[in-house]
Amino acid sequence: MPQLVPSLLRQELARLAEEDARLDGRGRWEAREITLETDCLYNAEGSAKVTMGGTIVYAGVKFELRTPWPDRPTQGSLMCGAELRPVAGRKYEPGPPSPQSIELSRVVDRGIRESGCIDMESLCIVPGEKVWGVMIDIHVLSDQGNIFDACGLAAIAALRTAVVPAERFDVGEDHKLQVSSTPIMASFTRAGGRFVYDPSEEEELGGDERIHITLGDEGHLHSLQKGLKGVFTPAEFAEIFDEAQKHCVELRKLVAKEEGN
Amino acid sequence: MTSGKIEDTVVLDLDKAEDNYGQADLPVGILPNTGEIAFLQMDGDLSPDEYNLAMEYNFKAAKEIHEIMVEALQRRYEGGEA
Repeated sequence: MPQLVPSLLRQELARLAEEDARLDGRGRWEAREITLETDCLYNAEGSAKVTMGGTIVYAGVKFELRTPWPDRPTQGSLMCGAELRPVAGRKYEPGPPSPQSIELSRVVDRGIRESGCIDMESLCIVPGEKVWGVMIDIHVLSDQGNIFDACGLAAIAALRTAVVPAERFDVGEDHKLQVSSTPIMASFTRAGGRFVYDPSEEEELGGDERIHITLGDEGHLHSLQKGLKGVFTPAEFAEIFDEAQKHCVELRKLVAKEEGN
Repeated sequence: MTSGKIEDTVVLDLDKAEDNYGQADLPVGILPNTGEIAFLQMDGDLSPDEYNLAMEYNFKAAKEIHEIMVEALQRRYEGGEA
C-alpha cells in the first residue's frame, strides 16, 4: 500500500519544534498519562493492561511443559509474540504477522531476555526431559502512538506477577515465576527535526527515525534498536539516553507499586 | 562496525564464538564524513561507560576503514592501477 506523505503534518511538526512545543501540548520529554493494571485476564497465569494516552495494550503469560533443546538440557525457554490487528488502527491489515508486529515482539523479547531477568535454569524441572516454556502474548488494542513502550511495560508487569501453574501439570506446587529485575523500554521519535519522548500517533506519522532503549535496574543497556530512515548524532543519542534513564526509573516504580497491590 | 563485550571486557570486531557466547554486541552504521549514526542495534548487557567505550571503538574503526577505502579508490582512479 503506498504511504501518503503527510506533508502538512510534517510542516506543522517542524513549526512546533521551533517553539519547542508539541501537538498535544506536552513538553519534549513529557509522557502521556500512563495506567498499569495486572491480573486482568482470567485465563492467563500473569497479565497486564497498559494505557499510554489513547494507546491500549494487553499482555498475558502462559506456560507449557516441553522437552528442552538437546544442547541446553537444563534450560527452559521464553517466547514473545505480538499481534497488531485492524482493530488497533487503520494502518493494520488482517493476515499473517506483519514486519511491524515481528519487530515489535522481537524488540520486547530482546529487552527482557538480554537483561537476564529470567534465569532459564530456574525453568528446568527434569534435566533433559521436562522444562517450562514461558509464552508472552501481547495484543495491541489501540495504537495512538508508542506501542513499543506500552508493550514492553505490559510484558514485564505480566511476567513479574505470573504464577507457574505447576499443580495443574502435576509437577509440584504453584509458585511465583522468578523474575530478578525489571527491564524497561523508553522510545523516542524524531518529530519536527528533534527527538521527543513517548511519541503520539501523529508524531510517528509525520516523524522520522525512532530509537528504542531498554534499560535494566542498574541503568545498564540491554537492547537498542533504531527503526525507520534517518540519521542521528552521538550528542543526540547522549541526550535521549539521559532522558531514558529518568523515565525507566519512574516506570520501574510504577511496576513495583502495582506488584505491591 | 561492531563492538561488544566478552568476559567483562569491551572489544572491537567480534568473531563468531565471541558473538555467540559474549555478553553484548553493538553493531553501528556510521557515516564517517559527518559522524552521524545511520544504523544502531544492541543486545546484552552494557553499562553506560561500557557503551561509551564500545562506541568510541566503533567510531575509531569506522574512521580507519574510511581512510583505507579512500586510499583504495585513489589508487584505482588516480594511479591507474587496480
